[in-house]
Parts: sequence; structure tokens; C-alpha cells
Amino acid sequence: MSEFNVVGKREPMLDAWEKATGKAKYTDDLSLPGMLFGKILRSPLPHAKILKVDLTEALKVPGVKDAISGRDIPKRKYGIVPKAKDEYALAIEKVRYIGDEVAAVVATSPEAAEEAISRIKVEYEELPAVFDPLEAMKPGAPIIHEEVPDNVSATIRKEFGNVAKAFKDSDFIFEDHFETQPVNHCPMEPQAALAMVDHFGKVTLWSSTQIPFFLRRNLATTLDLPESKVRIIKPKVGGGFGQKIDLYAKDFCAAFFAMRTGRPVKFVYDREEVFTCTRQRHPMYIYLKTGVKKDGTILAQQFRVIADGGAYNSTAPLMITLACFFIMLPYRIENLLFEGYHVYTNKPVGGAMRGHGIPQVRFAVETQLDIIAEKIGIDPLELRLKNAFQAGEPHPAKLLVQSCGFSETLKKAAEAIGWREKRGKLPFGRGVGLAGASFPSGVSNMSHISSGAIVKIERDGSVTLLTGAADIGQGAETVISQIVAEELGVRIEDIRITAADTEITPLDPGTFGSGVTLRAGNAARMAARAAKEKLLEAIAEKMEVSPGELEMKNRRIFLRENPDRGFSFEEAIKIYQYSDRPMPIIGRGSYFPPAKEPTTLLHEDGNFSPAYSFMTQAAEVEVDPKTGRVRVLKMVTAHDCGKAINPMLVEGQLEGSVVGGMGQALYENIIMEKGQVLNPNFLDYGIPTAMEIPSIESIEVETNDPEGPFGAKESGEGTQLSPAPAIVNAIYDAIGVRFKTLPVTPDKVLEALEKRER
Amino acid sequence: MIPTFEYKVPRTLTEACDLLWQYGDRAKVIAGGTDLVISLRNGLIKPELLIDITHLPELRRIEERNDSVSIGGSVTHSEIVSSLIVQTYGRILSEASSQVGSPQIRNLGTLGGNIVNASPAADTVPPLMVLEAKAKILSKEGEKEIPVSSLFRGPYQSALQPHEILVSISFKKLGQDMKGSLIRLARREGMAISRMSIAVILQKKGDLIEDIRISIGAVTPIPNRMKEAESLLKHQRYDTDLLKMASEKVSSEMILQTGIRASTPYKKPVVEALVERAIRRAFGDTQ
Amino acid sequence: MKRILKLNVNGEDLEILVEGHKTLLEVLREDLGLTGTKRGCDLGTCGACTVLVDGRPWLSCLTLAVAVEKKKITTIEGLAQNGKLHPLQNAFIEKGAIQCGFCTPGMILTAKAFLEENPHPSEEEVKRAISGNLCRCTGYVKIVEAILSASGRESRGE
Repeated sequence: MSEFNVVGKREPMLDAWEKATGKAKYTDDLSLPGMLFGKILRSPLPHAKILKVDLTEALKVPGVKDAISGRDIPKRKYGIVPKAKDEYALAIEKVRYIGDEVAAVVATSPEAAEEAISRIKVEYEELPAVFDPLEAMKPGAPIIHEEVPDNVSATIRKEFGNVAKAFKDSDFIFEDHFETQPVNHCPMEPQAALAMVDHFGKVTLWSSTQIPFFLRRNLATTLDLPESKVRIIKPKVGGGFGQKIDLYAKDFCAAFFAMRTGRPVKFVYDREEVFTCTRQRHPMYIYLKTGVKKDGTILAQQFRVIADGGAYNSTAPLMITLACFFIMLPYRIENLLFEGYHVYTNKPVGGAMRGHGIPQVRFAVETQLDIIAEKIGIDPLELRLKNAFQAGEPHPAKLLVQSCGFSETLKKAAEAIGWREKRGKLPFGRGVGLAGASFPSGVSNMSHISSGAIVKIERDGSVTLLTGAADIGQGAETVISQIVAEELGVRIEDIRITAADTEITPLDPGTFGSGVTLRAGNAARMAARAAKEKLLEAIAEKMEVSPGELEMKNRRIFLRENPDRGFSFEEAIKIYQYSDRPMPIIGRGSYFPPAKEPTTLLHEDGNFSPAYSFMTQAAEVEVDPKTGRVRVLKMVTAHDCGKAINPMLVEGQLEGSVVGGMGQALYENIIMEKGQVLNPNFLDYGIPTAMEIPSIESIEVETNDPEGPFGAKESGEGTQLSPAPAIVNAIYDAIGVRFKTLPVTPDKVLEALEKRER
Repeated sequence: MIPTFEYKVPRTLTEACDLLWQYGDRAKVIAGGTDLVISLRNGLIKPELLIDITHLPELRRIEERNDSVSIGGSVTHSEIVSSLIVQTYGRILSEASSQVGSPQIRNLGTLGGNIVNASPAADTVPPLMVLEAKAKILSKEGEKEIPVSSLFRGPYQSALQPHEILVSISFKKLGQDMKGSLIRLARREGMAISRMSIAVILQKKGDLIEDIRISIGAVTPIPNRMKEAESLLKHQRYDTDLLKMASEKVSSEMILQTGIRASTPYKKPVVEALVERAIRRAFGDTQ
Repeated sequence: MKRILKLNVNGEDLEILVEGHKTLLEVLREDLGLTGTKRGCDLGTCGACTVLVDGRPWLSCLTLAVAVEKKKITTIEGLAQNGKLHPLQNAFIEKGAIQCGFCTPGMILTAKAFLEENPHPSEEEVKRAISGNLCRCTGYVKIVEAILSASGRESRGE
């Protein structure tokens, strides 16, 4: 029997009923009386000065109520990382990529708005553009932002240990170059925003965002309003995967037009805008040098990573820093040199995406590990086990790993894929491969925002939970409710949750860095505990015992030593009330990842995450040597997520991550020509459909992490790090060809096979 | 956003022809609408009138007539897939229809639409080419029957005149000794446009190829029969070297029509391999 | 130009005055307030807008509303009968087949039509049936499981 009643249970998501019946409301499902519809005019040029924007004809279109260009907005830059703000809500002096926002209109119908957009006249002076980061770094390249004359907008150079010496001590040195492609998040719900302004001038914005409190900050900045004049409400969000972290023109425009017209305003992006004008995973050039001993011990690694950031920063400094620090697990690498560059180009903008900077580098490391294993004659599984990091080991970057099931994930994944029977033993065209990874459960000291929660025990014995956490479909509200129910000894159906409304719920950093369960879960648990303590105090007084002798479970409060002595939850609340204590019983919780030293990710080293999860992906593939087509037959994902608060939702995270990772290994690629996206639709971009999915086996490796709520760690992002290298390694086992660029298309496979024959 | 238009649902073919005669290229015929609605929204077409032909009985039937099968122009792909008549006498077409887009697209999209839209990647066209299908076309000027192959002028350019309606498609029933095979290559299994497709119908007599018809889709601007390859194989003993030669004829024909493109280094060996594979399957060589 | 449309939606005969060029998706969402039908791409490539027309999965974004007059239209809002969920809705909820939920209405309706045609499908048949409905969250695993369980295969231990 489990020691828990609610935690660890396969509870359906709290809002699954609403979603299954069509009642769930996403931003575009909301309307307000008198609402106007907005459209944005976007740049057709990759790089140009805006000489003149003429809105006259647009304003003449019947139904059009207002039109603006960049010159009409507060000249306030925004960006997710305060020191890297480089974007205006609408372009002011120049446009930097095809799709950059130039002007916007609102009208009484979407048709009128669209018509008006087509009548705006813009005069541009075209500037030379640059589309490749290597070109953009060269002296004399076109300058995309005047403040950044070399186009390198974020860099990191970190050395741990003594890399030069370690390479000297190595028996073998490996050097390889890798390339990864731009990938779109493809949330099924396109970005949308709806704004209204009350008569005090306060803006309320409903937005498909995964990070309401940051959005409030950025929106207040761009509108030039105090934060108190901005309220963000997150309705249901149809997936995000990192793409709904940034403020977009639709948020600003909805709010700004609502302020100007006094009417509610809605902006909804179409699918092409989602593909071209939001964010994408950074394509990277990766140079990787690794030194190993004959026995496979990794002595040193050196990275030179050039990320194609597109026209703006978005998360640039954070992304490149994450890539550096979190590539330092799951293996023991004492000597490491990481040089990373985020480079501007006149292309769509890179941003956070599931794994945030790490999947690209992980692809390089895991692919090269297999190269190393072959060269020195060690089984790739053994090589990984040999170098696997263990809990409690000192870490060169001072990461504090208190729980680590990496070795176990390796062994279990290998067993499930049939490693010993299949590796190197299948007929030509079939093969198996594996790859490991690690991911933080949220990043500490992120802009110094704590995660807060309030738990109220109401007079009727129900529980109200307020959390700032943003559920974007991953089930955060369910998991946090489970944690509170467990702590209070009540049923999950006793909990009513209100989340992600900046006016009502406590502060929370939002959904990113795979930290929600740990951060918001801990906060909620603390709040529940605080409320519980108040209740227990009243009961202890009544029973003339000390609160410490009491237990709260199964909706009862009772003496631990004599469970028959006690009260039902309802009776207990009555006793509390009759003792003249204030109702409701309110508990507050605020969680900030502990840091012994003043670490800030961008400046000082230290333990950047409260906990680290570990995972291994294994793949079996079949390659048709005549057409080059790769079919993934089976994927195994073994994941150490600490304690799974809700195993069904954890599996859902793993399965979704694996299929996304498979898409990025084999199909997905934003194809561009001179900055123009050529495949901005599902048909030509090609995320996997149900027909592509292999059989998927999820293995949960439970390790109780002391920092996580009930021992829980992340499960959302880490699993997307390694499907691609696992598949690429399996392809090598199948046909003996090694791919160092993604995706592995049939064309590349065939070309490589032909080269090999020659 | 879709511009304004009139929408009429004629009750009879004559009424439909009258409307088309009257409006000419200011009217568009709509059946499934899968391509048309997108063109409307993108402003590629701005018709004054849409003529809904999905209620005309002549266009909705699948019929068996003596030695041939006839399929109405607005019969959907789903209906073709579930038709026993097509399964029995033109299975290769059932297979093609079952591979179109997605289940939803197959419910909306029609055989006539697939042909008239004239996409080089149209899934049903290579099978229709090897079935030597004929199209019955009606207009105020009268009725005519022409080979389906003559309906294509170029990519997305149909030879059908604005005032004409594609009433039905017919083909001769395939005999018991005629075996078809269809291979489709796409970026993904589901929901993807065909990148290459090979349709083969083969008549076998012992180890002899009595007759063979080959057509390839998606890799040439308009659909073609691969006549050179066909005549190389016809009346010949089945032989893998000969297959290889025939497949090379197909790839040369493809390159002749498209010129060398960036994708040619991929498509040449693949079209060869798939042509061989398709003929093998049609011949029943399972090696 | 507005015209009067006669539609039968979720068993109810409706007469509404709308712009003649509107798609079924627009009429459902904007004129009838049935926002359970989702707009994911407006190009017929994601399946989020799927409704049933005469019982078959239909892309409402590629369908002009005038084209489905006199046909029976079922949206996700019309699936539960007298407050009782359809077995597929229950299966999706219980099996964890719903994450962000944006693909769910279209997915459930597609599955409903499919199971009526093929009550005892194989896993491969299920995958093929839902191949026109994209999902980025679940990796489809639990969706396939839910559909199979609603088909009763699982309960019979097959």
C-alpha cells in the first residue's frame, strides 16, 4: 500500500471534463460586447528602414476604428531577459525580418481589419540582410541592431577544471561538427489576446500565455503603465512548449487599442503567423571536442556553440547559459570549456522551446559518445554507465545533485529495447540506439521571483487553492491540487483551484524551465501546511494535546497514537470557528529555491536548480535503403522524475516529448530562403501524425528528491533532449552511416548510403 | 477572409450547364471544396457565383456497365474506398483514394476535384492513367468523352473549359489476370502530400509480361504514361535486368520533363527503385 | 451579402442570418457560440475544426456553411446526451488522453464516427482513423488507448 492517498494516483486532469465537452474556453473562445478585431501588417522585407507608414486609406475602410504604426506607440523596449531587451511591440525605425510587425488596425469585423491592412502604404529603404550566423559574425556584415555592431548579442565563456591539461592527458581526442535545424513548437492553439479597459484605466488582458506575471511586467513596460494598471488572466491554453513565454505584438496591440478606443479588442494569430512570427528552436552550429582515456573515462569536453537567434534576443542570454550549464549532466565531466554565441540574423526569432538550448547540444554529445564508443571499442551503454554522474558527487559547476537515477534509467531503457540481443546484431536496415540526458526542475533565482500559493479551508470543509502557476495543458493545476489534498488529508474533489490571474493569485514565475511541479507544488504544500497548522492548533487546544500529536488524513483529524479519538474535518472546522478564530483558515506559502550562495545564472556559479531529473531514450529503427525512409519502430523512455505525483500525467509528458523529439529527428525543419519561410503550414512542415508513432514504453524510475514536493522532480522537458540522438544512433546501427545534422531526411540517408558505396 | 459570392444549387445537369454557360469564368463549380475554399480565402479566385454540384444524381453514382465502371465526378474518396465495385474492378484506384490527405479530406474531396485541380501530386491520377480512364464532359455545347490524360495542361492547370462539367470517369474493368500495384512516397505516412507515386498495371502470362502500363505521379509537371519503359517490358520474359533497364527509362523520362533539379539526386535512384518494386509486386515477385 | 441559412445543429433546426461566404467553422463559433469547435490552421490540415456532417468527420474550416444546409451537423457540444457523457468522452478523460485539450473535440468526433463504422478496430486502424487530427501534447499514445478502450476491446481482454 502506498503511504499516500492522493499523491501517486492516476487522477484525470481536473479540467478534462470541460475539455472533452467543448466547454473549456481558450482566449479566442471569449468575446465581449462591442469587441473589435485586430490585424497586424508585417514586413515583406528581411531588413529595411521604415521611411513612411501611411494609414490614411486603411482608416477609410468601413468598420475600421483605429490604426497605428510603430511611431504611435511608447518607445519602450521589452524582452524576457531584462538586460537583453531589444524589441519594440511594433517596429519603429526598421524591420529586421520578414514578418516583423509594422502597423496594426482594429475594426468591427476581421474582414474589415484585413481589408484595411492591405491598404496601408509603407515605404521602405531596403538594407543588406544576413541569414547565416557565421556570415553575421564576420567583420563588415550588415548590422541588425545598432547597439550590437558584431551581431553577437549574448555570449558565454566558462571553463571548469583545466581543459588544456585534460586534453593532454587524454588517450584519444575526438572532434566533430554538428548542425541542428529551426523547429517550431506548433502548439495546436494559435496565439491570441483579448483586452479591455475599465473606467479607472486598468487594462485586463486574457492571453494565451504560459507566464502571466512576466507578461504583466512586459506589457506594463510597453504600455508605459505601472504594473498595478495591468491584469493578466490566463484562460485555457492550448499548448505552449515555450512559444507562449514571450510578449507578442498581439498582446500589446489588443491592450493599446483597447486603451485608445475604449472598446474590447481581440487579436488572433493565424497558423502562418505562428510559424513565422512567434518563436522557434534556435538552430545551432556546434563544434565539440572530447578527450577520453582508453577505458572510456571522459576527461574533458570543449564546446563552441553558435546559435542562430534570428532578429531579436527573446531569451538569448538565458538560452546560451542553460546550454552551457545543463550539458554538464548526466555525465561526470571535470574539465569543460564552453563558448557560446547568440547571433542576430534577419530571420524568424529563436526562443525557449522544450529543453531550451540543451537539446541541440545534447544531440552533439550523445552522437559523439557513440563515435567514441566505436573507436575505442566499448559498448555505448557501458561508456555511458562508466561516466554516469551519481547523487551526492561534487560537481565542477557546483550543481547540487541530491537524487540521481541516471544509471538505472540507462539500464532499464537498454533492457526494454533489447540492447544486448539487438545492438549490432540486427539485419542491415534495422538498428537500436540510445542516449541519455538530464534536466533541471526549474532554474533557481530566475529574476528573483518566488512562487506563491494561498490555501483557504472554508466553512463547509472545502478547500480553495490560489496559485499563480500557469497550466497550459500539462496538468499543473491537477498536480498542485493533488499535493494540497495530500497534505490536508482531503480528497482532490474537495479542492477548488483558481490559478494564473495576476490580480487574484499570488506571484509565480510561470511555466518554463520544467519547474512548475517543484516550485508551485512546494509553495502550495507550504500554504496547505500553514493552514493545517492553524486548524490543528485549535483542535489540539480542544483535545488538550499538543498539535504534534495530531494527524490529518481521510478527512479526519485524530490522535496519531489513538486514531479513534478525533473529529471529522467538518467537526474540526466547527471547533475552530467556535474558538473564535478567524475564518476562513488561510495558509500562505512562498517557495524560492534554496541557494547557499548568491547564485545568479547569468553571473555567478552555483546550484542553479533545486533538483535535477535524469533520463535515457532508446530507439529501434528500420531504414529503407532504397528510399532512405526511416521508420521508428519502438521508443523507450526511462525517466527519473523523483516521485511521480500523477503517473498518468507523467507518462503523458514523456510520450508527448518523445514524439516531438522524433519529429525533430526525422521530419521537422523550418525551411527558409533569404529569410522567407517556405513551409509555414502543417502540411509542409510535418509534425508527426498518429500514423508515425512507434510503440512507446515509458519507464518511471522513482528517486525521492529531498527538495521536491513529496520527492517530485521535473518530467516535462527533459525527455525531449534525447530522442533525436537515440534515433540517429539507431540509424547508425542500422546502416552504418552517422548523421551530424538534423533532421535526418530520406534525401540525406540516400545520399550518405551512395557515398558510402563509392 | 472569403469574398462575397452567390451560391446556387442546381437541381439538374442542364440547369448546371446553363449557369456555367451564362457565367463562364465568373463562376466556379464547387464539390468538396477542399482546394476551392483555400483558394477563395487566399484571394486566388474571386468568383461571382459558386455552383454546388454535389446534389446532381448523375455525379454522385458509382455504376457498373457491362465491361466498364463509371464513377460520378462528385463521388468522394471515402465513397470510392468503400465501393465494392471499385475494389473488384479497379482496386488500384481504391488504394489511391484511401491514401488521399486524411480521413476528413477523403470525406470532402471528390474524384472530379482531384482531377480538375490538376495538382501534379494528385493521388488518384496515376491510377486513372494506367486504368486508361475516360472522362465524360458536358456543357451547353454537348457531351464528349475524352481520355483523362488529356485533361492536364500544366501544374494546377486543367484543360477543362470554364463552361464544362466533369460528369463522370469511366474505365474498363480489369480482368482477373491484370494486377495493379501502387506505391506512394510522402514525407510522412499521415496527412502528407505525395512526393512520388508509381502506378503499375500488369498482365501476366506464365513468366511473360503480356501487357504493362506504368504511370508516375508528383515528379512530373503533368501525369504521363511511361511508354518507353512499357514497350521495353511488353511481351518480354520477366527479368530483373530488364526491370532495371525499364526503371532507368522511367527516371530518364522524368529528368527529361523536369530538367535537373536540386531534388534530382534523390528522386532519380528512388523512382528507379520504386518502379522496380511496383512492377515486382504487380508481377507477384515477392523475393 | 447576408442570407438565411437553415442548419440542423446538434438536433436542433436553426434559421440564422449570416454572411453567405462564411465557413461552417465561422458560423458555429461566431454566430452560434459553439466554440468547442476549434480553429487550428484554417487550411484543413490539423483536424481541430472537425465536426460531424451526417455522421462523418468533416473539416468545418473548408466547408462553406451554405453547402451543409439540410444536413445534420454534430459538434462536440452535442455529443453528451441528457447530461450523460459519450463513452469516448469518458475514456478520453479517464485515460489521460487530454492534455491541452485543443485537439480534443475534433479528435473525439473523428473517433466517434470511426467506431460507429468499425466497432472493433485494431490499433493500426485507430491510428489511421485519427491521422487527420494533429496533437502536439500527448504523442497520441493515450488517445489511441482511450479509443480502443471505448471500443470495448480492452474490457474484453483482447
